[in-house]
Amino acid sequence: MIIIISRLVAFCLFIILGAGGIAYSESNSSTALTPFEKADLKRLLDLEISGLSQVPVQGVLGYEQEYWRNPASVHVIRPEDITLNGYLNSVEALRGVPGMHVSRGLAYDNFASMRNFSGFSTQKFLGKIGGREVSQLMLGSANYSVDDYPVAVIDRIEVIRGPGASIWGTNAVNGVLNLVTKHAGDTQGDSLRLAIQDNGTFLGDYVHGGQISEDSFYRVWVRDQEYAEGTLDSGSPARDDGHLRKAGFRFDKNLGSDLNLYVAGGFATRRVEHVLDLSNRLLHDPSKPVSDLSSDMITLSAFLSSPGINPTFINPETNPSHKALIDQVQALNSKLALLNATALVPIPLSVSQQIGASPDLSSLKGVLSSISGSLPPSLVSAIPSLNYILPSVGSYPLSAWATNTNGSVNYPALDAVPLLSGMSAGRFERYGEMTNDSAHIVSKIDGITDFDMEWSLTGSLDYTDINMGHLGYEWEQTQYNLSFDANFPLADRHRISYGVATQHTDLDVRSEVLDIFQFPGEISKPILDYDQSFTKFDRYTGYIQDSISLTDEILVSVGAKVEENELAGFGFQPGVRASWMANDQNIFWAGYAKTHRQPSLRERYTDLTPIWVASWDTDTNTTTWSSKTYEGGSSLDREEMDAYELGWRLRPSEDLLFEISTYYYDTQNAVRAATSLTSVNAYEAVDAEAYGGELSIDWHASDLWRLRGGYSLARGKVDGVRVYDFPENTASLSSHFKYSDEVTFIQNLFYSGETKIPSDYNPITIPSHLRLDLGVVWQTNGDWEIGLFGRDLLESYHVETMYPGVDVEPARVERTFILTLLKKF
Amino acid sequence: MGAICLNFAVLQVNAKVSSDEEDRRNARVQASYITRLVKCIHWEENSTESQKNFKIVVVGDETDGLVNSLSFLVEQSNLSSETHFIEVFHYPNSKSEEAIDFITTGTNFVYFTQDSILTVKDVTPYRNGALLLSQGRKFVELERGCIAFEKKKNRIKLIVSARAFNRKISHVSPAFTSLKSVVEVVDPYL
Repeated sequence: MIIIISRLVAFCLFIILGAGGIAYSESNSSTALTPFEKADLKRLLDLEISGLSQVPVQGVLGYEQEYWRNPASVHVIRPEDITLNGYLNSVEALRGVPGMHVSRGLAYDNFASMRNFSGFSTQKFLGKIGGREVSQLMLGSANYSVDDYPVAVIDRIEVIRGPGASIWGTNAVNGVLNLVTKHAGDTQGDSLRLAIQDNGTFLGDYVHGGQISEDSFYRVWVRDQEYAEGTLDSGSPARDDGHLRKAGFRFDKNLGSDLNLYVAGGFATRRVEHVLDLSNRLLHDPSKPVSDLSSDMITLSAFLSSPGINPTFINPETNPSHKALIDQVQALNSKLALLNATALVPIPLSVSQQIGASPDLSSLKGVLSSISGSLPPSLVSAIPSLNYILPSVGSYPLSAWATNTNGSVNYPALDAVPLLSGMSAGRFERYGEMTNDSAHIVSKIDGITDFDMEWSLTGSLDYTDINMGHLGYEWEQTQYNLSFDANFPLADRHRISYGVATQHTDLDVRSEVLDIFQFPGEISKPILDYDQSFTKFDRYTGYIQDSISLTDEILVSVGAKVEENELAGFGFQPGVRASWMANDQNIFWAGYAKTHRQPSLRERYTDLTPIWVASWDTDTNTTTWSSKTYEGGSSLDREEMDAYELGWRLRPSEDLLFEISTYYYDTQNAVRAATSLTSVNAYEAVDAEAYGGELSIDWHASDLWRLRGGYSLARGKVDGVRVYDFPENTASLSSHFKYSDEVTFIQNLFYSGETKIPSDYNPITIPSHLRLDLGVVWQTNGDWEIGLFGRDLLESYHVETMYPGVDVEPARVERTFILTLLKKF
Repeated sequence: MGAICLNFAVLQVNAKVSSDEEDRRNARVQASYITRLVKCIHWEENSTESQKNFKIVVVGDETDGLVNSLSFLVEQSNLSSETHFIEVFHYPNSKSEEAIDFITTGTNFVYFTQDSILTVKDVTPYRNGALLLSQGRKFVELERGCIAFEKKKNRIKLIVSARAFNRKISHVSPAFTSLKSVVEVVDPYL
């Protein structure tokens, strides 16, 4: 038996390992270069000698993203991808990455989401910029516009779609965005970039680098960004102008043979306005007034239609006024009867006020008063009570609301209520300053030991103060990070990577009650109220991964990350990935990973009180106000996702590359904003699934012409129901044609399918849109580059997104022209 | 049992084969270095060599794609050293005599593969100022070569003979020494 088993094992090993070796000897042991190798040489050709010295001979899966056998879906953005396409910042450059959806909702922010997922998808990928994790614990997302760097100091941006390998760990759910900055020694001299948009938006940054000693370098940089005011879809001003100012530095020193140190830091300050939509925040429960009015009308109707009606008082046959009175009573009575028969829910106070000021009721009372001499005394005394009772003026801060009124807004939810269909609500918007002040310092020391262990020790300190003045909510976050990473070869076929990290976060959260919600008495509450019991958080992580050259055709990485985290508890996140080089031109890869995302503090520990409701108090027989508070979901568990991926990389020649990636994500406890008035919590845990794929093509058609294209299909379901907050289809096509050594023509075409932005009362549909950008770049013989770009040329404007969760009207994305000037190092 | 032994052998073969992937990458990085090094060579102004195309000669057998990598890079980059075009020539061991004849006509770089039967001693009398390159520290320290590529700590670094900076006809740019993290200068006479 043992012999049989051993022979079976041996046979399997022979098939798996031996056959691979034979295949290798047939395919790869020649001196001829494969298309992948030629493409790799083209990349190496761009490196200076110092860069070549950093190229690892043996790659580590998960670290070296551009290795063609990497079993993951990776897109790398180079600085020239930003400048040659006229993008102002690196977030805009993500628009050309298949599987990413970039939309513009305000003058100062682009929203980037990756693959399809439930909820506010910008929160679902890990952001690392300049060596540090930039996600805010409060919102669970990062502001990439604020954390952006001048393009001159960016080495590359790695966009890794799909759950990160075990080395990335928590929050790398949909993928990883890793912006890598250059060594200070590679930015010597002066660099300047100016970009001026025809609407007045301006960006300027300046970088200076110098050498301190033979082995130490520095650079300093400043950036100013001025945002011009945009226009809302309705044509109203968006009031989204402001500025962002930043500065930073980096110091690099070679401490010895294969021992390097860098220290980098910076600060940023941004001042913009933000708006809070209040159109649906003051509600009125109309049950009592409708019921009372109906009752009165029934009494009146009964009196008027009584067979024994006294003709002395009422005689419709001879008196037209009396006839009109009876007609009005009957008409109003039938409307009220219908309303009264409906299970009424609180409606915007502004709508209720329109009902109270109904011409029908006013007219009726007018007619009754005009013929009061003809009415029985009992009926005359009842006229004043024929009222639709609204909250008294003094019971809520009317004057504060009056200052925030701004026309009317459609209220589709009323369509469900008979006779209210088609009504508009009053539109109320409160603008407040949103400030963002931040500073950081990061230091990294790395080296290689004599037994080829590559290691690095990174420490960083981040401080952020964000004030959301429109909500009356401010927090300061101070975060300390320390991590150690290493990898080393083990025998001929393994490379082990491992690491440990710790993060400590201190929070100081402050809330204020906005003037619009300062009700008389003690009942006022802030819109966002943080549980002050949770202001310190610690996270400890460790990972280990083995990159195995199983055969020369098959690479496998197996790893896991463990984490102890106060927000997500203890977690174990295993992952396995493999790639198979079928021949010199085809690589297939597959991956499975279990990943976690910790709930944000906003989701977990913050009570949300966005709504106040006026309703009848049977004890006091008055209308009183009460808040609708959605509690923080302190029981929200971490999101857990099982992710399966398959991919195919085909390179027929060094000038042509096709990549196809497919994915299926199955998520438990996906956090999604609650949208029902009856919900207890602001966020709910749901089950979600997403699936789709991306196709990308990169073709150097000739030395003069490069074409890149991408297509993405993405579908998602929440609790089995399709959601459309991510476009099902997106596509892009980019052409760079070098007319001469100096002049390049650029054409970019982007398509985004329809999306439906969820909202608690005003969900909107963003129509599909096609965007055409054209540009010409003149690269002078020196280091100067001048570009002229036209964006969104196909239409004067379109809308791309609504700020999620705030219900603000979308802003127009208008046709613009941009002039850029770049002085390279 | 016999089958298991057979597969241990297969495993060892695979271990070697998997390192071939590294060898091929090693060759590509070396080829990239060589195309960069062309720009770091200064020629004597009156040298007749400075008027000709830049010739890189690879001598010895090789299976890692170094020659093809070099040829591809040269074709792609259209590199030149001070207005010179670069040409790549390969003479396997079977054509060693022809290699010597060619080197005698004037070349700029002579690269010795690991399997080359020609040595520095064989080539030195005919090299006419050509810089000699190969892989491994001992090529510079013991064999009196000019520049060697050393695979160490999972990277490729350069070992440069101090004599390479002081040669008459052609020499390595002194600025090269500032790349301390990349270049190690050794004096073979010490």
